[in-house]
Amino acid sequence: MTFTASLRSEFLKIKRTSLIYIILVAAFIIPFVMFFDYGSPDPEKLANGWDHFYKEATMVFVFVFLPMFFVLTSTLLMQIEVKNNAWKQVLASPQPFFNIIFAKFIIIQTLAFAFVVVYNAYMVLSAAVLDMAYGSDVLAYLKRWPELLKFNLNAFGATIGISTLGFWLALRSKNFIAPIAIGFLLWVIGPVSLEFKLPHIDKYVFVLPFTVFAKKFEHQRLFYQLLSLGYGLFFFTIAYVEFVWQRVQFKWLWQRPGRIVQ
Amino acid sequence: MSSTIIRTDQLCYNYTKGVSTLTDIHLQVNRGDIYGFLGPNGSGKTTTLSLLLGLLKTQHGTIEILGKDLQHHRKEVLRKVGSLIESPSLYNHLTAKENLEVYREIYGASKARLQGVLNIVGLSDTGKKTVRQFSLGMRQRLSIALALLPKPELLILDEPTNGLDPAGILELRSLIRSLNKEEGITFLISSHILSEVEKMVNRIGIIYKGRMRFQGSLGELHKLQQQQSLVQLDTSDNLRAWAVLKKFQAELQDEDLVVPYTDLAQVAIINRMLIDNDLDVYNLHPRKQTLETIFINLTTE
Repeated sequence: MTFTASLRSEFLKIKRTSLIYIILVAAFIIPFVMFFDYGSPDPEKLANGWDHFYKEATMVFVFVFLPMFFVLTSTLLMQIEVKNNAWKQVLASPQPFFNIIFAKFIIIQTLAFAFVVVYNAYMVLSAAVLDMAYGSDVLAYLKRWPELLKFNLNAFGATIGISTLGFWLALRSKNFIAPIAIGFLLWVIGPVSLEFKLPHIDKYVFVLPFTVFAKKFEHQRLFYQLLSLGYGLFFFTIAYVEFVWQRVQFKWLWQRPGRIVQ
Repeated sequence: MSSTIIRTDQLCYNYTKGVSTLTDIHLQVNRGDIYGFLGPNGSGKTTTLSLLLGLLKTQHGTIEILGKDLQHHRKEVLRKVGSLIESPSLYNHLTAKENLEVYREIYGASKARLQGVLNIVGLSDTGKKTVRQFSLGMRQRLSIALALLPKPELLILDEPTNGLDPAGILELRSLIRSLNKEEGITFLISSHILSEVEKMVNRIGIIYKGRMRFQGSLGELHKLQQQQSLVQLDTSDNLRAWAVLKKFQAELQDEDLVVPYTDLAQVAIINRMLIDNDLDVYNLHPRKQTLETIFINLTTE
């Protein structure tokens, strides 16, 4: 039994669920608002007409939408098992516990990746229409794709900690509301604390996406990426240990196997 | 190859500290058995089955399935065990085929096997209909198809007839019998109704308030039934009649005399003995125990 079998099983489960529609709709909101909110390109500011436009939109996307997306999709993914009363069948199948939860985690990361890609596609589309309307060069910005890619990867990296925290909250709850409410509350603490300039708040997991944009943290970007990864490993380990602990007594993990009767 | 498929030893479990849900469960299911695991609601059947499938953490005791310790060989054991615990565990937004496809590779089953199990349960023509549109009987059948997918050596079914109509129950009963006979699958079936499983099982375990009250073959249960059948007597002198029938383990209960019997010929012998001893028999009432009353006696205080 390989990990790919578990992964394939998890992919099949999200077929015909609302997760795909959430990606398509949620990714559309910011480009849609930005499109109608756009005044005119500022030639003084940036090389291309939509440079500023993109950064402003993506700041909201990475700081608000992506963290909430992780919390929501993790909860919805776990609810597939809860609502269908299917956890017991999953756990009675011959899959290692690690495969079960890591496959689910990969699904969430894949959905988030799709969310980022769809969002970027909408942004390009929205900007292209505006550029054409204002007579700017549509392709000029796309030629800077390595910069765009790096920016997106940084944003993704800064949310790894949030994604595993949301995953852990969803995994340990049978309830739909609780992980979303806790996730939202933890997120709200971020901007409020930033407003009050609390010490070390830049290291708070929900504030890490902010460091991708703020000039103040530019020189420490690698540190924040590693910190997010550290949070990611920490929360995933907690989620895994708790998941196993609920089903197996840890002493058995290092005890010798019992008698085998043939 | 071991003839014992399931063996539990001193299995105990409690959901809350100090309140024991299972106490000292010694379960033994042999290869080829259709084992009926009986008990009223809340007696600990589902908890026991959940422990056997590793859904609950074993707190005390050991579980050996297919000759292997469950805790250390969880994956190996579960690969050969199919299960249906309580209500069906199916994804309502998927079709019958997709539901099986979710687990096909995990169990290493082929596409032909998937189609085969759908044919066995008569759900091969449901097309694009999702499980949400299925009747309860169809869901139950699909759950059995899922349990059969890994070509199991052991099938654990928790109250599989729940929600089925009489025709569905008969159908399921004959399916279980044929799978046991033709594919050699061992069954552990829980139920709270004796008459429901009596016709198909060969071994029975009765659990009540978390303790095993009986375990043995159906023949042994019948024997117990015979042992517990009583003839109620009223004679001209019950005290003297009791002395006459002492070798039959007669007992005086209030004003009546009760004597255990195994068959009606024995009742006739008892009657003749009383008459031969100049005792008038006013009332002779054989009370034959049914399996149902035995079950009720074992599962009441």
